Amino acid sequence: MRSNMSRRILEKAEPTPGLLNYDAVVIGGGIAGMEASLDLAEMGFKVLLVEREPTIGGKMFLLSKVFPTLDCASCISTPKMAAVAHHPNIVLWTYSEITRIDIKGKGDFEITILRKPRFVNEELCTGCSTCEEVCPVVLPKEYDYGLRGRKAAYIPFDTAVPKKAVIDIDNCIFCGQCERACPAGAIDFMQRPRIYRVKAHAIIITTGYRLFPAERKEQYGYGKIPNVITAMQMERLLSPTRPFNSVLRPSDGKEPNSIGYVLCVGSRDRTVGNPRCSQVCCMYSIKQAQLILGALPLADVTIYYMDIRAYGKGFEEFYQKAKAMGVKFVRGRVAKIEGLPNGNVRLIYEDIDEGRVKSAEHDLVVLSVGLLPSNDDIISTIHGEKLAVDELGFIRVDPSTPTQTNIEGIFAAGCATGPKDIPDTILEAASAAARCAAYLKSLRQEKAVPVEAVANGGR
Amino acid sequence: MPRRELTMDRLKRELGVQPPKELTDYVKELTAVRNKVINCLRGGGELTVKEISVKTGLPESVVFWHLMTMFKYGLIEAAEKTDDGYYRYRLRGETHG
Repeated sequence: MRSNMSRRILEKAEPTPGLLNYDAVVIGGGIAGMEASLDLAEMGFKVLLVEREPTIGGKMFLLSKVFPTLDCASCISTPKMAAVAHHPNIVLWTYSEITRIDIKGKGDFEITILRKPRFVNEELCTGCSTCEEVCPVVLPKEYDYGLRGRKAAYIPFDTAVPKKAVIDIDNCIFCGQCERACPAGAIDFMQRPRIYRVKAHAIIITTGYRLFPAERKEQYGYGKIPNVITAMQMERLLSPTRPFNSVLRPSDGKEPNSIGYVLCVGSRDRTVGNPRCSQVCCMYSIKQAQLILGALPLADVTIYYMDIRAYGKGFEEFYQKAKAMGVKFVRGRVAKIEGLPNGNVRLIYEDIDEGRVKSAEHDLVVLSVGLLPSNDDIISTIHGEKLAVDELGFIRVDPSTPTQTNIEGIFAAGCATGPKDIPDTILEAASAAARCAAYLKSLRQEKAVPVEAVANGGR
Repeated sequence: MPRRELTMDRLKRELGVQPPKELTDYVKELTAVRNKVINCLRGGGELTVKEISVKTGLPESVVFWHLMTMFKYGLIEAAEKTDDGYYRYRLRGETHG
């Protein structure tokens, strides 16, 4: 249904003359990219942070709370988002993509970046949402994983950074209502993509992860059985920015009384080519179970698991707390999920402790999906040397010098190097920033490169 | 006063494009579905997803998706919850009549 308008417009991308200079380019504006950018900027380095989505924040921004402390996720991430946007040493480019990285020499990278048009003048847009209100096109909202709709003219989130509208040109019907209604006159369909060339001495890759596409496990019925959802969708139902003020199941809006969790969906599973443990699925499921019991005190929550990997600080206590709260843990692999005429969902599973096949009925089933690499786009842009990845596609880093890739001057952190939780991600991002800073200083000593080189554009 | 030329009109002229028919058809269909749900609630009605589904002939999941979207844009609000766990919804600003 989407038009190919964006492709036609991207063909008209115009190169911008000149070469912009930064000490480091950070690729990916999730929690790792924000942390690395802020740390480098605080040390006095000029940083360009490039994010392909219209807002920074990554996936953490979409979560309800973090485990095992149950701190509010957006209360941690939104101050960082604001700090990034306002730091004098950080230039933030959202809705922008790296199209090419040329390795010219030691500490010498030339990066080509495509800045896609929002069709909204960022200087004029006040984020008032008037364009969104009048737009007649409703589409599944990506940030809510399709649980509700968004308009073709939209602001990604109430707390998006930057809080500027963007027009989904492929789904625009050119009715002009947004342009007529915008009180600031910010809508500009004549915006064109622009191509920038940037010179940097170092790169930090923080491209995060993508979630395992649950529909690939056909026996679990995701996408066909309405009341089978993913854990990320449940995260949205539980978060402060959730679609509704309660957990409701998608088929008919009923508050579920009985919720089942299926762990290891698309992880530790050779049949889908991902034998690795995703490190976070056990704990985010246990966290969600606790939050559900807070939101729906009368609900029953059952977690079907192979084994619980509560390996981190405070994790075992968190697991025991969930048990004490009444969360039921069943050791057994779920073989099949079926939808029932009343909207309920039946699980067929092997109860390992009892050694037999059983079935159970729930109002709602949540698939705890695994984490996959999200680096392909970046890896293919690098010319001059090949960035090493592991057998699953995560960026390979030397365990003795964590965050250092095989290419001198390119660092990686967070889930770009493998699945990990938020504290480990932040820790690794800080480590990448420290190593990057040391590298930039050594370059200055070796080659007298002016690390305080002033960025001549963007701000 | 002459009508200001919209940049949208200039884009259409320059690229010689129109939105694809499937997209405009989709929007028409979507608007019709949304209007069915809204009309059902007009006059101060407070209905559950199931009740709206029965009245409109739309699948419950479709009704629910539209209600959640309209909830986001402030067009509807939730009334009380039934004993079997379903919320009733009403149009914002309309009282029971």
